[in-house]
Amino acid sequence: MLRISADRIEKSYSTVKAVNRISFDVRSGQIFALLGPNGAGKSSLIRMLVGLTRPDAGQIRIEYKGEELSALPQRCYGYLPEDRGLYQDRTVRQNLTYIAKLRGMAAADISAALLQWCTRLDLLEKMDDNLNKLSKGNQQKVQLISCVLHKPDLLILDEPFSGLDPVNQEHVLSILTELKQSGTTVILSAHQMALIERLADEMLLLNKGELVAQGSLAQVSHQLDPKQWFEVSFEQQVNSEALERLTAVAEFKPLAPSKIQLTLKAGFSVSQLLQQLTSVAELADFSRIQPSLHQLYLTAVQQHNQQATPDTQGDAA
Amino acid sequence: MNLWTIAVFEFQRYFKWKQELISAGILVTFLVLSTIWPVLEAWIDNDYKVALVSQAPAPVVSGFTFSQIPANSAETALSGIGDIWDLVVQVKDDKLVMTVESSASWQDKITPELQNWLQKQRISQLPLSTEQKKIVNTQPDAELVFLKKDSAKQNKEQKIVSGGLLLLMAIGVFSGFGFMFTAITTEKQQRVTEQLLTLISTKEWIDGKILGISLFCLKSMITTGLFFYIMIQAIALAKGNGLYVLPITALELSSALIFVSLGLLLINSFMAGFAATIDDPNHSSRSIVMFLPTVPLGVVFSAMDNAEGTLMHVLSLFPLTSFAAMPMRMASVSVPWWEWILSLILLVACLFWLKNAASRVFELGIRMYGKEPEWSLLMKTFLFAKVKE
Repeated sequence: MLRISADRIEKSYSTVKAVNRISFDVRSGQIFALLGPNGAGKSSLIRMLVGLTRPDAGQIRIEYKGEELSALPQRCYGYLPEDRGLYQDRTVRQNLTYIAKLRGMAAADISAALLQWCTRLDLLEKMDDNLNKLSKGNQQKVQLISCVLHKPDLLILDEPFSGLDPVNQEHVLSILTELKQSGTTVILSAHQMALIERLADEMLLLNKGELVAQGSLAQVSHQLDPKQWFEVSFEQQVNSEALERLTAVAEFKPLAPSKIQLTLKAGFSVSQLLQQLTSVAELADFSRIQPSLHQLYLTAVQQHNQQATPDTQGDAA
Repeated sequence: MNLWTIAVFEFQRYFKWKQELISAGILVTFLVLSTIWPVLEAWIDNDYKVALVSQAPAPVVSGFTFSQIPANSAETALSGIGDIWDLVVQVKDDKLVMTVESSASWQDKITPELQNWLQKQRISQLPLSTEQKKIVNTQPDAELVFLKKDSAKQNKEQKIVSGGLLLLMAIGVFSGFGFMFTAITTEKQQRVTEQLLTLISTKEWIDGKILGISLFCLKSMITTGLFFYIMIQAIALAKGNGLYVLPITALELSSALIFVSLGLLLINSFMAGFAATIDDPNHSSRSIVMFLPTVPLGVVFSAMDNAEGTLMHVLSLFPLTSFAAMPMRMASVSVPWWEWILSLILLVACLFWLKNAASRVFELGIRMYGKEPEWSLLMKTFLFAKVKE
């Protein structure tokens, strides 16, 4: 029903390459996350997707309801910009009604949808307040309503969790999950890795406009840290020399006299590892460690920056 | 459909009942104060006391109370300056001698009055007959004879109507300037543009904005005009003169409304386009361009004394000034129908061209954040580039 394919797209602002040969594919009903530190190119990518800017090179192809399109039809999607784009001197109702009208909604539908969403996001009592009287979090909720009011097939959200407290972050998370279940495709950028871990089907990790990793959480984890980490507790103390002799262990680090963390050497299976470990001592506990997306993200960005620094220096020279 | 939605939204952004009532209240207060000011002034300020050392009847000058003093009391009067008298007037050797304590602005008012008074005394002492004295003291009559009866319209009242129309237009133009300038630069700064440009095209947006703000400017002009009309009628009725009939016909008024409406669209198109190129209104060199639309009003104002002159003829046909000049001309003289039609056609054509040019500039500037387009690019876009739809 909906498919968005970006093929080696590039975008530069004067001397800065904001997006460098990025390709990705978003399919109908997916939640697709764009991750990366500030200046990674997430917003530039989003602005190209919604047609606010055009790529300098590469192509964005859109397939919607069986038709190949050059741009997203304006009424098929909802867009939440990074800088909140609503009228501060107008009320919540006036802002939302205006945007809904521009999206072609009928007056009766607007009233019903406004009531439904404002009730759901606890804004009913603030509907006639000017936007500049609302807290940052409530303004963010109004902005979110403006994107979903017309039941779009695609949501493009630039930092949707920004400014929200943990309760409201969970609230928005559940709304996005629900929308996904009803078939809405969501493309979002965020810094809240814990939320993205729970939400995204696929993700794209960017740094300084370049691709760092791409795919599902498992795929991204594997790309960023191909080592398989395990935590092992023995019934008694083990000595390091015995562990060093194990061929299935690539590296290990002691956490306690009877507890270690280790990585599996390439070419060996988990059962082989278990076999070798039991030959050293009796096992009390054995578990795989899944590094958090947050940890992976920090490590990947750090590594990418370290790799990029000599090149940059070379360029400058 | 979107055009009307945007226009209504823009109109309602600035139309606030509370503000309208406050403005009306301020205007009423201002007019009431203007009406009662002379009474109030007379009540607050005491008359200046003048000692006139003369046997001749004293003149009547508002704000001054004259007392005639015999010549032998002149010294006493002079010693009372500052306490009893503000001014002591003596006639010495056919010359007016006015003694005061110190220099003050009221002395400029009384001096010509006393000179005139003394001149009349001197004339009355000349060996002339009563008839001769009457001739000397009376201004000759003057009569203007109009060969074309219709051209006799230009009189004081019509000049007041022309001036009033120009004042209303200035209100419209400055409203447009204020709203366009603040609306667009604020929208850019608050990034409302990001949201709206994913919903509508730049063309739809600028068209709706121009229409909405032009309607608001027109509303400001009409409400101000109506307010003054009501006040004029109220004052006329209060004076017992009956209703005051404006020296302008319904046809002339409708024609003025057409020209003014098109003029507002023209000016607001220009302003919308250039406001979009301003990044920071406090520091932008582009801001000065926004004042350009006031130039036609200034030019028409300077030429309006000679409504039948060649300059006013040209201005009423030239599309960048006709929206102001044609209503002025029509309020003062009869305009041939073909000139009216030609002027309207030229104005509509110019509006069409300028709106497209402004759309191009708007599209160029509205998505630029943190920087402004170069002057050369700006002018090229305004004059030559094609509109991207």
